[in-house]
Amino acid sequence: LVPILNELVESIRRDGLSLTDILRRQHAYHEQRRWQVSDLIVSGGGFRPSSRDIAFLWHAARAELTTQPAGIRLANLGLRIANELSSENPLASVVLHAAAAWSARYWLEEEAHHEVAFHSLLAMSGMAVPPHDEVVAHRGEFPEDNFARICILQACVEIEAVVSYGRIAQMADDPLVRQVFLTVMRDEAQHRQYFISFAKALVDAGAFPVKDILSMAYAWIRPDVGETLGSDRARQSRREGFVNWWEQVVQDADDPLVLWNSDELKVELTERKRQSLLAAVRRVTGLAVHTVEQLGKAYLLSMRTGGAPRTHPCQVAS
Amino acid sequence: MLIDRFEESVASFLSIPAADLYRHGLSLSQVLAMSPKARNSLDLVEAFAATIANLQLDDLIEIPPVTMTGGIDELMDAIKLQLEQTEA
Repeated sequence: LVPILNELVESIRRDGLSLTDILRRQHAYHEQRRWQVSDLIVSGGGFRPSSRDIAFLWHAARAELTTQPAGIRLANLGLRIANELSSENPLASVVLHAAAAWSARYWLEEEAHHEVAFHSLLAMSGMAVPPHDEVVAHRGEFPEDNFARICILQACVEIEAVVSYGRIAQMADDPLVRQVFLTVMRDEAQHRQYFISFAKALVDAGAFPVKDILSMAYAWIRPDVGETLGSDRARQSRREGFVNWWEQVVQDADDPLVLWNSDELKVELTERKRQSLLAAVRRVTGLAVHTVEQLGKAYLLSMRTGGAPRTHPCQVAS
Repeated sequence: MLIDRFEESVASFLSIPAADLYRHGLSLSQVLAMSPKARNSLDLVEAFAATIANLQLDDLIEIPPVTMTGGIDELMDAIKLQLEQTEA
């Protein structure tokens, strides 16, 4: 099996991989893991989702809608910066071309399967699929930001999906619902790996400072107000022109669409997500951050050192 | 006063004159529109984080949460309160 290139900069510098070499690897990886949503759905006879299954599908059907604007942003922005950096930082330019191509070709294609799978199951269950206005709202233009922060944001979102879908694959009542969530979860785990790889390569290539990695990660998992808490937070931001699906999660225990029906479960899942993201930050930055507090300190320290490239001797106090 | 240095530093990171930034009831969306450097809430957080780091207040001041529903004066009041508690 062709693996994902986790050390892109090393692969380019040491192994001499060209952009076309990397693109062929991406394509081979995508093809060997390709699955068809129609095959998966057809294989499931006797589909009888429970009310809990429908709540899971309701959320996933909406969450998957927002991938498309993010993929378009990454493809466009990546290509633009790749061309801007072609003389100044050719190494980063190759990484950005690779990231933009992966986003445009494989990420968007694979996420399309997820969206269609969940919408198909909703329709098969007799529930309404997201109506036109809701679909359009979830297709709002992805906000402007720098490429490294978007890569980490997407790693965060993929971690949300991996942890949530993995648990749903265990909890769902109908076998087809379990199978679809498990299949999609495996895709999301690969996407997480890709985003971490691109973020690391951009830091390794000196295109973005460590502070961009740390700031996004800290915003995601900081106590009480972190994005990972989504609609459970006491205070929500007003969004204009786009939807963050994690801010739309149904939390009311009396609502039949509530996603998680126990506070203990929410706490456990949040901790799993935190640990996964901290591991991603360690991988990208090389910093020994094992707690959210250490992550916050590392972020402040990186500000003092002018953004601290990864090679900077950035020590994190425990 | 430390709060004055804090305000000046945040304004400098946002490239907005302090006199234009504070005590006009500006929402954070308005601040973003005024700043030639900040594009989103993460950039706003970074102005505060850089100030906390540069003034070496890491253990005394928390990086403020930035929800785009609030205003810049509200954020700075929260910093002022933390500084007063520290000095007390």
